[in-house]
Amino acid sequence: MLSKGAKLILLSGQFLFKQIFVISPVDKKNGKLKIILRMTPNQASATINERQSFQAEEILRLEGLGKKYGRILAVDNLDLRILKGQVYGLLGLNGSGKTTTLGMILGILQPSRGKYYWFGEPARPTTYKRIGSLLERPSFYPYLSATNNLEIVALTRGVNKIEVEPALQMVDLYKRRNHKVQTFSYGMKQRLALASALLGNPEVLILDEPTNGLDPEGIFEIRNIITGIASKGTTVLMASHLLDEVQKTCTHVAILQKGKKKYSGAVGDLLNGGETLELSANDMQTLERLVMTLPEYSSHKVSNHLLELKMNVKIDAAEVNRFLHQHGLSCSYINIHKQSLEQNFLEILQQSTE
Amino acid sequence: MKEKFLVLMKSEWIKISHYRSFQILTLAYIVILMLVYIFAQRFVTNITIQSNDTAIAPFARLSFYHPQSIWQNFTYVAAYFKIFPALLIILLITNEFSFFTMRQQLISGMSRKDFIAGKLLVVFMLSLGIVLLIGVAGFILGTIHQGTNNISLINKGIWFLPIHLLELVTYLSCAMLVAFMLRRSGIAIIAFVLYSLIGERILKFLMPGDSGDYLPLNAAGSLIPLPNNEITTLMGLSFRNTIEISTVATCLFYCCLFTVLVYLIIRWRDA
Repeated sequence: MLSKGAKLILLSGQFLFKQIFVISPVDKKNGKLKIILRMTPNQASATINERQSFQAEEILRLEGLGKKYGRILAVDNLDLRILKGQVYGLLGLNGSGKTTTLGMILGILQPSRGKYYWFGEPARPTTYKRIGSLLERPSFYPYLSATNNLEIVALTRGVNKIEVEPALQMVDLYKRRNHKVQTFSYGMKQRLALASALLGNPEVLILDEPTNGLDPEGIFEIRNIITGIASKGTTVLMASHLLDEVQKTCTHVAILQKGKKKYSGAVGDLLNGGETLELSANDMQTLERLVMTLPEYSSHKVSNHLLELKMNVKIDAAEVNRFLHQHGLSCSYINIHKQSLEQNFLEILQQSTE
Repeated sequence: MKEKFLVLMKSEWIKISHYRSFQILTLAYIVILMLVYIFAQRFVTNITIQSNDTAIAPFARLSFYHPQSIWQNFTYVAAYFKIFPALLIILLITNEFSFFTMRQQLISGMSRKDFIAGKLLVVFMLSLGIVLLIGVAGFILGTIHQGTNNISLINKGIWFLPIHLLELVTYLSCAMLVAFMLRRSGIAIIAFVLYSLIGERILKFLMPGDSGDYLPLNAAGSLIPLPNNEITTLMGLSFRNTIEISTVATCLFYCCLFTVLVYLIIRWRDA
């Protein structure tokens, strides 16, 4: 509680100087108040808004989440934060803990330790009505038609039955709506599962290996659907071991290995981090000597008359070329080579194994 | 609450109404039960005739449809066929695990409590349907065979209908528990049949005194006693023709216990 004096300072501050003071608790030693922050009401309001929107944008938070199956540690102390609008890829080899992680955050597997928060609060069954998900394999009653199966999902999610048909149209299963699911191919079941996940326009979409078992055309279709959904601002969390798929679809990525997180961040950062500059010149020895004197030089290797240069900052090819030219060397070949996600992924896994 | 109830009803109805095994088992149950009800009189009459051959004094003709005993007779006989709905319940529940649809419903926002409530609803509605079927059959066959008006059929014996409902609910709840525990239809059916035919008898034999009477299926089975008739009376056998409150309470207790156990199973086990 503020003393009368402190309140007076605050009020006079607001009226006289149009400023808001944030005051520390009374110092016990000298009994004086200390102003620790001073800002205008607009600045304060902006700060509050920023703080509120920052909090509101957090969709999922994992804190030390872990799962043990007997002696096997499937997921170990996983921390992750997913913000609204992100298309987040969970990458990892088979058995790295991707599906287990998704199972826990979807409430069907009991975490052995740690917590997770959906939309800033612990999950309740109603929370999952805001989330569309496709976990591991398409799960339907085989003796029911596509429409009947989606009607059950609609009833569970509290979605109007009218939304079933558009969902079937979106995944191109409308013509087969009255056919039993047991007559569907795996790809069709996968598309039906996607339609089921999309029922009621969920705020978040969780997909576990969505293109598993699909032919190239099916993969292309599913990828287009996911990209379309993500472009509307839906947050997507997708587990996959198909790196190309993640690179093409995701904005952010977390790499798991044996249940542990090895990397998390924007896909762009991961790709830029692996950028190299390929150089070639008549005098390779001088070139090698010169690049080592570059201000942000990191490392290099030479093979087949080609020097691959890595730097600590984002590479500016023109700048490097200018530097070499100033030192009397002309390059016969210069090219920025971006490592694919696959190369980065393998590098990260290799580093952690070492 | 009402809305949730309707949602569960609709959802479960979609699941079971299109299920071929449900249609076959239900049809088989109805046909067998009706045939038994229709031809039971012939069986009873045969017993009477055979008994009269050796009896000192002839028995009066026994009637399976006598208004005073029709409900006890009908529900007692129906109890022999309760394995049909039990198999159905086991299939419907184990399907949810083998098709992975239980986890799908949980991740779609259904709570574990609602999931169990849905299955309990099926247990109750199926039992109620059977009891209504027995009721309608009793009224029709009773009227045809006795040639009396329907009013005479509404006597205190009609209480055996709700008691049979309790018997069915207890029995099917036990089947539900076994299905949730074992998850696989084949294993669950074998385990349940073995338990109901042999397991409980062994347990009863091993348990001291009359405590075996309080085992779940035994308690459910003894809700409706063997109907008395002239032959049993002559043989010096007299079965109670009343409903025992302690048995009713035991069955109610088991219904609650099985439901709680099912909840604990799916609450703590990964879906």
